Amino acid sequence: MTAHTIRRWFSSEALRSSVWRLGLHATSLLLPLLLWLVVSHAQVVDPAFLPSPAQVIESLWSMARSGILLADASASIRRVMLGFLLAAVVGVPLGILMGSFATVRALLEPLSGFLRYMPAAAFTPLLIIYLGIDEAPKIVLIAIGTVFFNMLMVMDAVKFVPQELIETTRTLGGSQRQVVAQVITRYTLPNIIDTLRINMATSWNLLVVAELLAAEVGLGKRIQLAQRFFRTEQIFADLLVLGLIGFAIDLAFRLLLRLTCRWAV
Amino acid sequence: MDFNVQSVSKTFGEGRQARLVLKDINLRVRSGEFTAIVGRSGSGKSTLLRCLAGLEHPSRGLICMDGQPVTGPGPDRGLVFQNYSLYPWLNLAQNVAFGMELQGRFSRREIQERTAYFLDVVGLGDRRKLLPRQCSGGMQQRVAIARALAAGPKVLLLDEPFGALDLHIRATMQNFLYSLWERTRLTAILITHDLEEALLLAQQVHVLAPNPGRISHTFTTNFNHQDLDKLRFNSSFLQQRQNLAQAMESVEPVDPLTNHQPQRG
Repeated sequence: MTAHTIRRWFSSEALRSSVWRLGLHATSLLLPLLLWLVVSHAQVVDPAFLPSPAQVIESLWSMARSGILLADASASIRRVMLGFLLAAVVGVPLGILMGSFATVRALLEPLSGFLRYMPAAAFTPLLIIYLGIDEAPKIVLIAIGTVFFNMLMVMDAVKFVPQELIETTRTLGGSQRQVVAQVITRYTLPNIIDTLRINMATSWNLLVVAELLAAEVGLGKRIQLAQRFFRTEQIFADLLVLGLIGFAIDLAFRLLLRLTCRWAV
Repeated sequence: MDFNVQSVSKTFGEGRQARLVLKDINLRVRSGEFTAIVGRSGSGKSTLLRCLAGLEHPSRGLICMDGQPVTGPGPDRGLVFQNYSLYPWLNLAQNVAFGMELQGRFSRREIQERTAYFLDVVGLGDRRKLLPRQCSGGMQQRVAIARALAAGPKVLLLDEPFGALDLHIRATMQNFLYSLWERTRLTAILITHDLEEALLLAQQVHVLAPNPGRISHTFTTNFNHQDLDKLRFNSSFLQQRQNLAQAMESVEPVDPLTNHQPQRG
């Protein structure tokens, strides 16, 4: 095997072959799994710290059977979705307006740039004081942690709308409002969907923090409880579920992009 | 229709930074006339066209259409840019219909009929379902022209519409634009740096001298347009082209070594 062949395997040309790409995708997931199997089987690490895949699957199965898993997952998904939705409903329109109008940008950019650097988790005590310990503070926490990223990333996307497109619309008889609603928003839609896909991860990251606030169910809550009882296999199982849900949502966003913006993909 | 430009000047910047781009431009365009404005880059020709479109406001002077001062962009003055001006998410027919839909003064039926008519006029009736990215640059510019015409303008403003196209496609497009003018007798103002294009298409050719931009010469053409490809090599046409080139040279000598015009005061 020459260096030339190896180099060819890693060229972008080779990636166009779907079999090769699929193989790489599989490797990226299967190799760590294999490593895990080997390490846990060889008992290099104390099984209390590193449970075997079989233990984790068993734990997953027992949580699924008892209904805990469904209750945890649906509680967590609901929180994330509501917080994320709130951040989208507020952040995307503001981002579009900031990108379209210099005055709105001048008014909001310094504030959002400043607030973005305050860790959302640090708002927790205030949120508890203001909103109690129910679902509201958890949802608002996730929304706060996501909304400023939405605003600034959508605003940046609007900058890429070609000036010619905006000016053409004006000379075709379009009003300022039509330009924003029918041209700028439409042109940026693929970027908006992508922004939401990326910031979904931020919302998920905040979930565990949010569930520190006196939650009774939730995947993050379950992980904390498992830690208290030193049940590492349950922590692993819940982490797997978190990863799988995130992965599924990511795929759903990619599908949405393909379905709504065929012209851009 | 009477398009009247009276002593228009345009200054960019303020105070010591102020730069006079257009100085005392007078221009009159009547119904059915094809006017060309030629000048090298930096002569302010695009600024002039943007003022006519209402996208820039003259610092002094007045632009009137049928006695009404121009205060902003409007559907009575259609504009075609050099590129990037089709809506990428709309197919060709939807692109042509878009301006009419924005205006809200056309019925659904009218929009359909006019879209079909103007797509036929530019020879793309059978390509109506294609997306812009599936089309060549020449096709895209024909759609941009059809879209501008469908919106029902009194005058068509063309900002180097074929400047980004290959040479031989450019010739085809010039022939197309001439035959379009012959059939529809549209009123058009063309900005170009291509002297042949200007003489071929327009009855009036204005030379814009730079620093600051001002009309230094005006040529009136009277050629036999029976066969455009022959006309390009006709001796009186070539003579006129030579005269035009000399006129441009006289107002804007070019340093043969650097290809830049010497800076003045």
